[in-house]
Amino acid sequence: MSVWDPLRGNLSIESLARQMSADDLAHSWLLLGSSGSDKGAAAVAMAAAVNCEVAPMLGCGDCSTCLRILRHRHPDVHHVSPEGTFILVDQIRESVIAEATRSPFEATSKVFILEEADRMNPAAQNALLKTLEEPGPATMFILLSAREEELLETIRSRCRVIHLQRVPEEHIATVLQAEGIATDKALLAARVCEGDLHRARSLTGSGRAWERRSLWLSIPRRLTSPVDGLDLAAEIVNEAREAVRDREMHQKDEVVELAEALGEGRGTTSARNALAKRHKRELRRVEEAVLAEALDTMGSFYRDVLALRSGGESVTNLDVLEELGGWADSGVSDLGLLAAVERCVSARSALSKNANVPLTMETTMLELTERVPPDSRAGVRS
Amino acid sequence: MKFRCERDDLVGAVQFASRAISNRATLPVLSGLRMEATEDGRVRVAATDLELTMETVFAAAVDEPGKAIVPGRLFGEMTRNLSSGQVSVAGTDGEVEIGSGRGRFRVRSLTPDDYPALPIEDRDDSAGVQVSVNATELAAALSQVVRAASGDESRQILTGVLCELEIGSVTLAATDSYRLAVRTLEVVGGPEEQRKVVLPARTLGELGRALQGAAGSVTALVKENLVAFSVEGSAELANEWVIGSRFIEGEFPKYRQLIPDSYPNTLVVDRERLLEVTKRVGLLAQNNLPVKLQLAAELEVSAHTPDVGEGQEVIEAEYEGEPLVIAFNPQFLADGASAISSQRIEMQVGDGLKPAILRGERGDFTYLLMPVRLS
Repeated sequence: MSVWDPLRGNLSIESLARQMSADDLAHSWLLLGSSGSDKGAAAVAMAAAVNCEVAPMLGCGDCSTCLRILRHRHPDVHHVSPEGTFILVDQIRESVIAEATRSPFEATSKVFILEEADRMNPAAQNALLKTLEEPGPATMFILLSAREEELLETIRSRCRVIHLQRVPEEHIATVLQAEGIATDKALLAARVCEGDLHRARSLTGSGRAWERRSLWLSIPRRLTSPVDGLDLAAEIVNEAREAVRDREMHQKDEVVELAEALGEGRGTTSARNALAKRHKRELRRVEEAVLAEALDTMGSFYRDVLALRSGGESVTNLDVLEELGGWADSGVSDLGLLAAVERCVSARSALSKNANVPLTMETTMLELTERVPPDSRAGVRS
Repeated sequence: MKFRCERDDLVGAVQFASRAISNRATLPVLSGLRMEATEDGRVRVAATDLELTMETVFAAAVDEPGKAIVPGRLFGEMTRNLSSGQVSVAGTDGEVEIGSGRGRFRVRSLTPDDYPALPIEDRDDSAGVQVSVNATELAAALSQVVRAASGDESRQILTGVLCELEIGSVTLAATDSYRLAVRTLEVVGGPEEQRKVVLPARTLGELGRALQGAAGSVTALVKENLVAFSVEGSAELANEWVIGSRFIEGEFPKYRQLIPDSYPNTLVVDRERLLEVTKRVGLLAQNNLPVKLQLAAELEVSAHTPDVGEGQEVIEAEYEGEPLVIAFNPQFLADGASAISSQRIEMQVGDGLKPAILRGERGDFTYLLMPVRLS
């Protein structure tokens, strides 16, 4: 058994595992890959491998050290992730720089895993730079990112850069079926998740993700006038708020748990404030994730129409193939479809940079109505 | 885990270890206290915020050896509110039951698998350097030096205290770049080759607190990544504890070159007088303004804050050197004067712009203080 076992099948991760040799271990790594590339799991496996005492540089996956690292419960493996839209300089100072100056608590090596490292704003990246340049002994940094271009050149140049592949579609389908998902649903989820196993799991899981996807797919069809556009924008925003409310319920449980652990007396204020702050940022992230889901799905719908027109091999949304066919046969222009896809992508990127949510969604929907005018779709079967 | 003990022993141990529980813990399980009962009739209570680890032990009738992680604050409050007499503690899956008199209390415990391994428990000294030092002397040295450490988190290395360990002696140094405190004290043992470590001022502050009232000697075991200070208790295990600390890694400023060999001007003054006058006159040095010292046959301390007021007071002194004026932050001056234990203080001054040196009658402590430039 090894910590790499669950990641078998992903060739780029297998090659990464082979690079973990003791003689030539880089202290700063940048793992690049889309959200489905398992880079988080790879980073945790790296942390376990360098610290495992039973199987050094391999990670036995079975000792207390490995188990705690895999559960994100190890005092020397630090996970830093954006609590809001950005990783701010204060968070880097508190969670990384201060900790990096201390000797390890119990492990051989301190490991800092910076999830979505591209969300560090430039000030935070610059603050990190000095520590990255001269890390203390026994310190390893693993930066994870899907958007390399958002990282400063000075950060990138100090890291060993590893490009990770997406998880292959067949692999995801196999995993989902092994987890008890019906074959049809597993195959479709594996197709539409774009190589992201987590997204595939959430789609086939118990949450509302599957229902939401149907809703997003119905939007292009229902977009028949600017007024509809505004209504649909409101509908999308409401759906996101709904997800936020669900998350809020979870957060209430966390607050109760904290109170049980610490009591409510004197001296617990800072812990409670920290939790409240984290919760607030987390809600913003949940909202952004649902909106991104909507924009990605709508974008993929328009792209599928284009794909069908050009031969139709890489269609994503196979479950609405009939409707896509109707669109492909209609008078919608290729340029219009292309502009619609681009608009979905740019709206998503604007939201990740803290744009105003209702405004962004409204302008997007209005522009989609304009690019893909309803009258050009005459003859679409719906 | 199951044991019976005296309420006071339990409360004392829980309160001691709880000082290492932080509200800002990154791992949820660190809000807990680790209790471990062993067959030889000892119960160890430990807590850590990763930087500071505190552990103590008390005697109990152990019915079933074992471990449990109890919620720190709640358990602390509960035990403190028990009436005195015998207490029983039993840990089962996910729960700890406390029995006292006719009361039964059950609290949820935390996952023991998540609790970090405590390196201070590894008492194997083969990999480290062990020294022992007089507890009272160490407590005094800490109170002299720790106060000079910086509170500014942006230069982490200055938030620590440098410990230079050699055979027979240890030198403690701390600076916030406005003042520097250096104290040398004797130890038994030490490394062949000088070993330098920087310990967080916060942990040393807790160590100082724990040492209050301790007699005998403290053992410090310096290992690769941590130091563990321990005090052996009496036969009843009273007052036996271990405090562990991580190091701050990095290069501590080369402080020795800042201390000049000698200065031409030397003032000798009564410590108590200097302290009380500095405090009094310092009240009128507001908005970060300094107190001004005019060194001559007598010492005149004065302060002036525009729109607030002014004051001056003269202290009898012995002075050798040219008359001169030098100004200091009143708090830093008072800190230095109060860190010195002798009745008289010697202040050596170069000129109004060079750092001044404060020393007591014993030569083991030096306090270097940067003057404030007078406009």
